[in-house]
Amino acid sequence: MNAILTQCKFEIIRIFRNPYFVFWSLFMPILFYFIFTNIVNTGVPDQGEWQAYYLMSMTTFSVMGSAIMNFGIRMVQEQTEGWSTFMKLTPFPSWAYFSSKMFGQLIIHLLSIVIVFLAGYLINGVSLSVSQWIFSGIWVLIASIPFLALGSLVGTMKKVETASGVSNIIYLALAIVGGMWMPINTFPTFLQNIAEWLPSYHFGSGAWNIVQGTSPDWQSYLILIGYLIIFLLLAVSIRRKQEA
Amino acid sequence: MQSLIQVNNVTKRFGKTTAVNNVSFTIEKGSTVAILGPNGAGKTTTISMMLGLLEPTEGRLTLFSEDPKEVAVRNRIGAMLQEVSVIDKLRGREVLELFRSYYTNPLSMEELISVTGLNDEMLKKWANKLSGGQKRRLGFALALAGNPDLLFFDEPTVGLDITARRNFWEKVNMLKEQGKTVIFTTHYLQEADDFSERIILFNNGEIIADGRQMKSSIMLRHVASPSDPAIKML
Repeated sequence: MNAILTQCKFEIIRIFRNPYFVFWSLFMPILFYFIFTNIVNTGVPDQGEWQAYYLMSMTTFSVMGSAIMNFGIRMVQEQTEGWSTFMKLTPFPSWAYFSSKMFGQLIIHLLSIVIVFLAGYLINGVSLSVSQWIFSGIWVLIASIPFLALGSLVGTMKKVETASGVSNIIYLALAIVGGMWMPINTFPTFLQNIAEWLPSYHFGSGAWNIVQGTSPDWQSYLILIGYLIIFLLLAVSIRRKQEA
Repeated sequence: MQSLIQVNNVTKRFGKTTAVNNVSFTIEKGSTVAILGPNGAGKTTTISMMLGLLEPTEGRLTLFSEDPKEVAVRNRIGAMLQEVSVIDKLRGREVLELFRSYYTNPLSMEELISVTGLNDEMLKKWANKLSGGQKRRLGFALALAGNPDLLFFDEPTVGLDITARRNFWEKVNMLKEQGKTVIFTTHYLQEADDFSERIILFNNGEIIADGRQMKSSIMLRHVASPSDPAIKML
């Protein structure tokens, strides 16, 4: 138990010391948030609603990024540099190692949520009811798990360069087409149709619903759980093949 | 004497190549054993099987009478491998703290630092930014973190200068005096002669000699055909 806590602690420390994390997962979303709610005139009639809506977009954008990129690329790095092999020599079991990393990453998600929410409050004075803050936060935290599974799929790649290239493309494509940068109702119809099948859209959609006073659609649950299962099965079967 | 390691008729094949071919030996508690041989002789493959990192294709291998992958075994061994880089974004001291937490009875931080001669500067530096020699020293500390009874060093002194090399062997002698069992691979005859009481000589995946209290040069003269180019390289 002590080992798991120590591992978690150091995983969290390592993520915060990573300049890419701080830039991509904290600085960029907050900057985007500032630009699209203050500088660019979006012409949205209800500014208060837009500010809350876009805060959710940027929170999910931030969390999705660190789930796919941090988690996955780091796994590839440890694999290629021989560290994972070295870990096998210790009495610390690999399931515990993996769970500590996963748990550490979830704590990072929670901290990111708090930081981006706080930025929204400070920048625009976004006002939501206490239950809306809490439920949207919980939604973003829990619904980030399928993206961790996607991260672990990235983690099965052989080279750090491939992993970071591929995960960058996936991340940006998911964010843009999923409506995290621009709401999908501004898209042409065929793109809207695609978006509705993406996990990123449903990740955002659940949080958008909560701040608009409703709750996440059942489709969102279904699609996110579906993706979670697909990503997990893929990651596990690839890993099995590699170890065989 | 109690045998700590038992290797029975172990073979390891990678596809069509046989890296280790029907090898058997036992290693007793408290002994220091050098596994000597030219590059590609099967030294690292054998060590990797003893460490449970590779599965033998045939044969059986136990440490402390158990499978090398058992947690109880892992708690009692330590190793320095070739080509391991250290985890990034952590300082030397933090990596040690992390590693100590994995073991049931770790060495205390103070002991670990004094045994391995890590200084304050190295402990404060980013672990993956340490110089080659400093990294090796950290690797040595990681191998000792769990206060193991059995230690494996795979080519521990490659790339070290004479002082660092002497330093390393002094520490190993100290471990020996504490009753620890030490197994190392090397392709320096001198190191095998000076720091082990037993030499297991590998060539082409087989043990061609296994001698106690015997100089490696004498062993070589007895077993190897002088024309063997691999043995000549030693």
